[in-house]
Amino acid sequence: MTAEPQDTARPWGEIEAQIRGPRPMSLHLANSLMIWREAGAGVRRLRAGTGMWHLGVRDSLEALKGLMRTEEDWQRLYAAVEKKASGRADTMLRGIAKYIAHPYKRPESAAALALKIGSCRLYDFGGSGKPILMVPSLINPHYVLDLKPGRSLAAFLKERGYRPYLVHWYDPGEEELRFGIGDFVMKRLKPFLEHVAGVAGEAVPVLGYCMGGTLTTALAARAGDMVSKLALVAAPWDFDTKKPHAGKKYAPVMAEALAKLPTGMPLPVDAVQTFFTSVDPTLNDRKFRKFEAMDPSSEAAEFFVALETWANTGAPLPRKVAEETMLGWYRDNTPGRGAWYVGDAPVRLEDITCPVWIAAPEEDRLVPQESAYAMLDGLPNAVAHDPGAGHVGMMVGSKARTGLWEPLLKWLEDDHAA
Amino acid sequence: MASYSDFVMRDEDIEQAADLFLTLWQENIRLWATEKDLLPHAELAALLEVPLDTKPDAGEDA
Repeated sequence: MTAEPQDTARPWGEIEAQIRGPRPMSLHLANSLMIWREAGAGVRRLRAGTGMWHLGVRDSLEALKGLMRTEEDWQRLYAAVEKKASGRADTMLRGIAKYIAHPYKRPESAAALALKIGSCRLYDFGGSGKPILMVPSLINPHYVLDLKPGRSLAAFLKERGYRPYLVHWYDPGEEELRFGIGDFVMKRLKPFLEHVAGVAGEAVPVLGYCMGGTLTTALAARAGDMVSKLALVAAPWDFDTKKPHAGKKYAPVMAEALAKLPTGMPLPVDAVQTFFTSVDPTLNDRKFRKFEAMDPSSEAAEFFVALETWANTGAPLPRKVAEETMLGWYRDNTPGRGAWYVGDAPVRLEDITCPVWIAAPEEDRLVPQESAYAMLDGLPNAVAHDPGAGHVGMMVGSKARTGLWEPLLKWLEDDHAA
Repeated sequence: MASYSDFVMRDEDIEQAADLFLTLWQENIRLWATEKDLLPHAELAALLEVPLDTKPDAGEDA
């Protein structure tokens, strides 16, 4: 590069100031309030022997019903349920209000803009360590890989002799709005990789998280001479898993929704968030009731705010990307069938010859472990690792250091030549 | 001779039962919501073409 690129991006603090609680707010409020408003009716259904009780709770509810021996017991239970349900709804609302009012602002790490192409940026954490390219998902911001002090994989790697280069996708610009996934790989990631490999003077390790892992899989297949090792963290590959997952169920519905959007319109953030809500529609209620009881000055509360804000911050998905993921990946399983095109040809795992580390937890509810581990069959030099936490928890939670970061570091340091 | 308290649940038991019920109530919804496949529009429309008042369980709690 002959000139320092200018960083004209809006600071994340400004972007996050526009985030107001779980998105879409109306959906989350409706979910919670309806659950608690209907609870009293649930007691009546239990007593009458009606209602649809899932096998997972049926026995416990029958046992509870057996304890109610008199009319008075039922009346008191009904009154207590009504009162407590109302209390839970209030607690949830207070939790959301407390989150919105929380003063925590995530400190941005000291990373310099290394390269800007279109709206996408590559940030350099600096130092004299070994360069490593880190690629987040296109859905949420980059900083799940650098959430806050003590919860940053990028900072951890820097402290241990690496020089992280982190991709920031940002909102798609005019050019990116016309992109498919392959364009992001070939017109953004490939030049970013060329830059990092140029700094290193050799092939470099590449890490991809979630959808970023699937993108870097294609990158390694197309530019393998610049990739020394490929670390994939919760990277989905085979979407036709035996274990049911929300994406697969939602694919036909998302296909209809996409078809109704005006031509070329990107998929709005709230639509993507609705998709995620389907993984567990009760999760936000439980999360915010728990947050309500937290000491706002505690690290746990700051962590909650940082992570919740990350989860609710996102960019609209370019239309072609949305169609490729929702229809091509989730519905038609193009990667798993060897039918996902990047450039002019399908991405073939056998084209990836470098060592590959596939980290995927059993308890991941967004990306089934089976989906990520499916790559093991097609990669000649891959190993699997279970980080023992959830999809996001493994990256920034209390088990991240021992479950993911340290095993990753060990794998990066190992000599895989044999 | 049995006393009144042998037949009536204590307040703390009722409170505990109410908490347990609410947890199971929410869990019941989570389990159904995450396990049931969503109906695409066309299938949902086909389902709704059945007149509601002729369904065998019309008027019953679902």
